[in-house]
Order: sequence, then structure tokens, then C-alpha cells
Amino acid sequence: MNQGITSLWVALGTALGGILRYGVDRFMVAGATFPWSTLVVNTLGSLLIGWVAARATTPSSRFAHADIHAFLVPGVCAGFTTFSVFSHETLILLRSGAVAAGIANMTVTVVLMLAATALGLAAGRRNMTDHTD
Amino acid sequence: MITEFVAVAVGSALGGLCRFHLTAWIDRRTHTPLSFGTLAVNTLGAFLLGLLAGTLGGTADQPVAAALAMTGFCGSFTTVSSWSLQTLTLARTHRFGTALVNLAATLVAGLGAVILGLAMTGGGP
Repeated sequence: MNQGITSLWVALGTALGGILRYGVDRFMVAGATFPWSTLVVNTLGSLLIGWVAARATTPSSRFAHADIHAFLVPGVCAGFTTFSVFSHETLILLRSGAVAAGIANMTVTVVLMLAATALGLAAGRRNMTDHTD
Repeated sequence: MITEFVAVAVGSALGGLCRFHLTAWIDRRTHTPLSFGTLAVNTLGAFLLGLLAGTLGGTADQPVAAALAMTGFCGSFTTVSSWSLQTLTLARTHRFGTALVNLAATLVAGLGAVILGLAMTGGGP
């Protein structure tokens, strides 16, 4: 595996993931007090990573290819989702006195991310018997 | 607005590259079911975001700098999707205790790191 090429795919995927995350943040629920857009990107990114991870378990799948995997997993999925912004937004809620909303943000994020990844894994595995990529 | 999207793309690409290589470097050395690499980048990224938020102020004050460094670099340096997949993998391999520790430690470290970053730049207690 060529390290330089893998890095390039990671950089491209992350740039795309970051742009998409910024787009969701810019165009979704302007002026909302609850950080909905971060919850949405973190849930969708967790769904996608589960699906890709399931597909990648089949060596003949294109998702098992190192460059495509690098582009999608540490690239698009990781760049689209964000932990730092989630932590900062949670802290802002907790500090502004919206303690219940802050705790809800943590709880709902963790529950939805795990459920989305589990769903993604299940969906990725189920389709594998139908056809190979 | 186009400038901000470009700034996010550049910051994200750099953040993603740093995350990818730092995570791999740490995980190669620790070799544990729990990914200390992911825990480290998430904590470090949250700390850096706290520092930047304390320095730059809100994202509205300096939109391009915030887009590059906060939304772009810090946003993409950290990850929820990998954290989720790794936690689920721990649970599916019957390491329930480790999975819970991974959830709790990441949440607490993330909040603590933002608080520390903000405190160091006078952005709050």
C-alpha cells in the first residue's frame, strides 16, 4: 500500500466530509438553540461508517480496497462527524443553565450514534448476499 | 461564503491527515481493544477548539479564521463515527465494560478538554 496515496485519499475524503458538515450547519435550522445540525451529521456519519465497515468485510468488495476505504472511513465519515464541536456545544448548553438540554445532547448523541452504526452494519451485511460490488 | 467553504475544506483536509496519522501512530504503540488513538485525537481536538474559541471568540467574529481552524481543522481532527464503530465493536466482542469506559472517558475528557482550553485563553472558568 502506498502511504502517500492513502494520505491523499484521507485528505480528499475529509475535505468533502468537512464541507458537507459545514453545509448542513449553514443551511439547517438557523438560530436554533439546540445543536441539531451536529446531532444530524454525527448520526448520519455513524450510519455510513457501519455500512462501509460491513461491506469491507468481504475482500472482493470495492469497499475493502485500501484507497476507497481511506477515502470513506477516516476520510468522509470522520470528517463529516465531529467530536470537538459536539463537546463545545454541550458545554455551552451546560454553562448557559440549560443543564437538561446539555445532558440530553450527550445522551441522545451516544444512543443515536450507536443505533445508527448498528443499523448501518446490519444493512451492509444484509445486502451482501444479494450481489457483490 | 465561498471563502469560508474553501477554508473549511483546507482546514478539514489538514485536520483529517493529522488525525489519521496520529491515531495510527498511537494505536500501533498501544495495541489495546480500546483505541487510545481515537480517545487522544478527540481529547486533543476538543482542547484545541476550547483554546481557539477563547482566542477567536464566536464563529461570527472572525468567520474565515473560525471556518479554517475551528469548523475545519478541529471539526475534522475529531470523529464521532470512529468512536461509535469502535465502541460497538467492543460491545460486540463482549467487552461491555471497556465499551462503557470508552463512552464515559471520551465524554468526560472532551468536556474537560474544552473547559481547560477556554480557561487557558480567558474564555471562561
